[in-house]
Amino acid sequence: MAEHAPTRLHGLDGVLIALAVAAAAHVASLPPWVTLLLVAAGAWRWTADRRGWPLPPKWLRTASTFAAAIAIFASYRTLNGIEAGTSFLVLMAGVKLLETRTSRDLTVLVFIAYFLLYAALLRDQRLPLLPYLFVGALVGTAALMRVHAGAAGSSLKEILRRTAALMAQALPLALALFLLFPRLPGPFWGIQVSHSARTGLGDEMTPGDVSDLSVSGDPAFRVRFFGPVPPPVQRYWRGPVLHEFDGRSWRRTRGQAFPQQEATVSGTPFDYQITLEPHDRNWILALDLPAAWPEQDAYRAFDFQLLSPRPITDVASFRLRSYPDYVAGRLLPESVRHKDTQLPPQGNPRSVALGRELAARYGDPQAIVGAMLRMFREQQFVYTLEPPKLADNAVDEFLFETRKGFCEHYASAFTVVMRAAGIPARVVTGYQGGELNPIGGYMLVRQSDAHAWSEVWMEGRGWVRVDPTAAVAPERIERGLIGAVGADEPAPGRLRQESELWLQTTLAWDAVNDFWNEREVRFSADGQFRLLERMGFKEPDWRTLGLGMTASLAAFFVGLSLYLAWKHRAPARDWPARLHEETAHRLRRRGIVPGPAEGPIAFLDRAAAACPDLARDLAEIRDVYAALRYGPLPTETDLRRLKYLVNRLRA
Amino acid sequence: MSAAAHGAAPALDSAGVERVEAAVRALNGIILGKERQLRLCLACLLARGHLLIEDIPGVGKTTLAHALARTLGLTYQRIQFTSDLLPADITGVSVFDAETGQFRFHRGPVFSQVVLADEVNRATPKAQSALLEAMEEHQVTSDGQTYPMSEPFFVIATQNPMYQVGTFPLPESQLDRFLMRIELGYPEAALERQLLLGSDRRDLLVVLEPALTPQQLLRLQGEVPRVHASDALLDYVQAIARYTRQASEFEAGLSPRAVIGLLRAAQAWALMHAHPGVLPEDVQAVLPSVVGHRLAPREASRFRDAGQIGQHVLETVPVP
Repeated sequence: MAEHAPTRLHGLDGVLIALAVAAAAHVASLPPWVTLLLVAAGAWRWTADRRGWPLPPKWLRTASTFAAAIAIFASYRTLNGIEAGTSFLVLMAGVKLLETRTSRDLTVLVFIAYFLLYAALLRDQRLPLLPYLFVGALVGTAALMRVHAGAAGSSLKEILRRTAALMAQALPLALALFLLFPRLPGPFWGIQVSHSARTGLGDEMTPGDVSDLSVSGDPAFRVRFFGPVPPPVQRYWRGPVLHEFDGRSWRRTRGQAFPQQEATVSGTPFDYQITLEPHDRNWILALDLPAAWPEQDAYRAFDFQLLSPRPITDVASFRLRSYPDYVAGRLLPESVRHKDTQLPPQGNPRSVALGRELAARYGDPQAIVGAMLRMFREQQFVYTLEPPKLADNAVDEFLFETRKGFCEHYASAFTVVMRAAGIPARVVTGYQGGELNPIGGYMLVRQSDAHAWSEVWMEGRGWVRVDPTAAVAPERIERGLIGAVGADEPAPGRLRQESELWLQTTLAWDAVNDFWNEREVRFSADGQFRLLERMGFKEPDWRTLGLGMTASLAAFFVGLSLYLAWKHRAPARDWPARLHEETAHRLRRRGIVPGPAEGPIAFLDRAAAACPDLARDLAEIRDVYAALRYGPLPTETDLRRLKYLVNRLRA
Repeated sequence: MSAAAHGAAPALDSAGVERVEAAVRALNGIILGKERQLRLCLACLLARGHLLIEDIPGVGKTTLAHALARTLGLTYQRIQFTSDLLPADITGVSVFDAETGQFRFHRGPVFSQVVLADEVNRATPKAQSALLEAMEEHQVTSDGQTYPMSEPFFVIATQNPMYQVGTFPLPESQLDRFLMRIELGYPEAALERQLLLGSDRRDLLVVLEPALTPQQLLRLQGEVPRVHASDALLDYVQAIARYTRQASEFEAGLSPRAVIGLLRAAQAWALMHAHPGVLPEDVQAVLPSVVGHRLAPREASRFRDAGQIGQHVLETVPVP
């Protein structure tokens, strides 16, 4: 047997690249062994193609399939969900590589690559991912194009040109589907995104530990105000309220129900839409004090914190109203009073003593608060992002020894002293500040704006916000973090503040991100209906949506067909060709239709045989037509004769 | 197919065409029931191409070649290709002549008008290329001396489609040198009965009278490129070429040489059938044999045989 030279699988390289690009979108969340196996399978298949090695036998492939499934199940306890599902898909792509012999298999692999790209969207729908997915789709399509381009192949440039053209053509279709494809309400298909570590506020605060929160310049949320914008000193965004103190750390309440508390509001409200970056917790940041919120998406806890029934795992928007002037919790239930005056029985003795001393000296809560703030202001307290570490009696050490810290230290120490003085007090965490983005017309609040302050309860005034940081470093409240820390201390965004160009660039980039979140990711069923209403549909529902989608798809394809028909329209026919068509048209009525591979002469011969009454005319048409169209010397006489004959046929 | 001779047909050697018909009739008496292949074979010869017959042994390949040579009054040589065949066995060798004291070139079997290269795939690529070079150049070069082939020069190569140990199937680049590839196939039952009852084909060969002189044949070969191909027909030929180059079914499309070959073969076919110019039907008649061995399908399972490839092309490309 003459050994055939091993035929190289055409287009394999491109498909391997496409697969690698698609899998790379998941590498960060895949277990290393899955990535390693895919790389090994790809490398092996590539070498096998080069060397002409045989592919593994069927039993081995079957065994690897089962082994992959078992391994995935063993590490995730499921084959379902995003993490296990993607790992499984990646492993299956590796197994598929082992049996890839034809261009059909390669096509399947490209489809797997497409699906992997799509699965990346389940994990993350934020803007920076988009260009990557776009490139991935481009590479996948180009690989597909190359698989089907033939051994001669087209040049890479030609393939890329055609791929780009294809994707540009697909754009209107994608737009129509984006706008009109019926949206499922709620999180996408209810898939639980794993709670990976995302930056944001925690439900615990330990002053003295190193905080990495304050150095992250990532966006926390964006706010669009409808109407007046609060001045910097009123930009307190309420987050988790911390009640429990163990001597070092502050925590939220757990497993304890408290009665709802009333709040009366006055003055001019701020109406705004807040768009939170996903933080995997269920709290909603809100300007102090939230008074109106969407009832089905949020509720207000007894400590006036807004909560969502579900963790916020995707970008989420809420329409809220807040009042800067309020009286919250005029009547203090005994359970809340007990909770918010509790201190651990031991620890921080000097602070507790200070509280008791203040209470004894002033009596009036307002005066006690004032005395404490005065102490912060007048003694040598320093605001810094790099405070010394604190040991067991953290509050004592901070208040009487180190005296260096940032908001957490001040809020914690202040609250402890107030509790010792018998005043109900708690720590409120959240964000303070916000930067207006003139390009996007919204306010951006960053993780670095995270803040902690205190709330104390006073008879007749309810819960009153006291920000001890403001006493130490008023610039922190007025100018943000950069204004508060020393010039030699590293702080996020310092470069932004000092370079105008950089500032403008970051503002523009954030505006683009905001647009993406607002218009693309958050484009839900409501948005679709609003769009339809604007287009003139009255009371649009699912049917309108389906109809609109069908209609626009139909319009797209009809338009495409018309364009293609125009592009590939038959060239202007010469007279003989037209007359031949006319003849064929006449004959079609008699049921004589030209076959797919039938030439005109053979067709006329067949027609003559089928219609004896026309046989003579058809024979003459055939001869004249052959001479006119294919003969060396077509004459005007022949053409007239053909016209005459065809006309006679018509009669 | 009609013999439409309407209109002026300048420079058409009608006597020559009749002689070709006579040759077809004569050959038909020897090779039974294979008129189509015989006509293709003659068209290939008229178009100055070479022919590759791919079929199992015993279907009459040798008889066909021999009969063709006799009907056309041409000299005939058969070269049996074997694994130990040397290039010199084909082209010839220089021998020292003691009388004149000089080397004298002894022409090999390739210096014949009809050469049957039997089972080319059994020889080494080196021997194969000696033949293929002679086919392409119509000359043999030995010791710096060039020896032209006798004209007309027509090579019929046969190849056994079943690959056996120690065979070297012609690579695609070499296949392109053959204008046509045909298969003879088994005869029909009734015709096979005639074969069984009739006399030995070799005896019939002996009494075969030439139907054409070599001069007439050369003149006809000269006519072929002058058969009129109208714009409409060239559009059709180009549409076919374009399709094979764009379609995903094939590894690679038709080369320009193949497209020229297709047109020449169609012209020869039109000439043989006394058409005033090349008709689309002429292209269709020769197309399967011209493109069948040149278009490699990307997925072998797609087409049953080479004929199907041609049929697929014909059905896909409409006649403009």
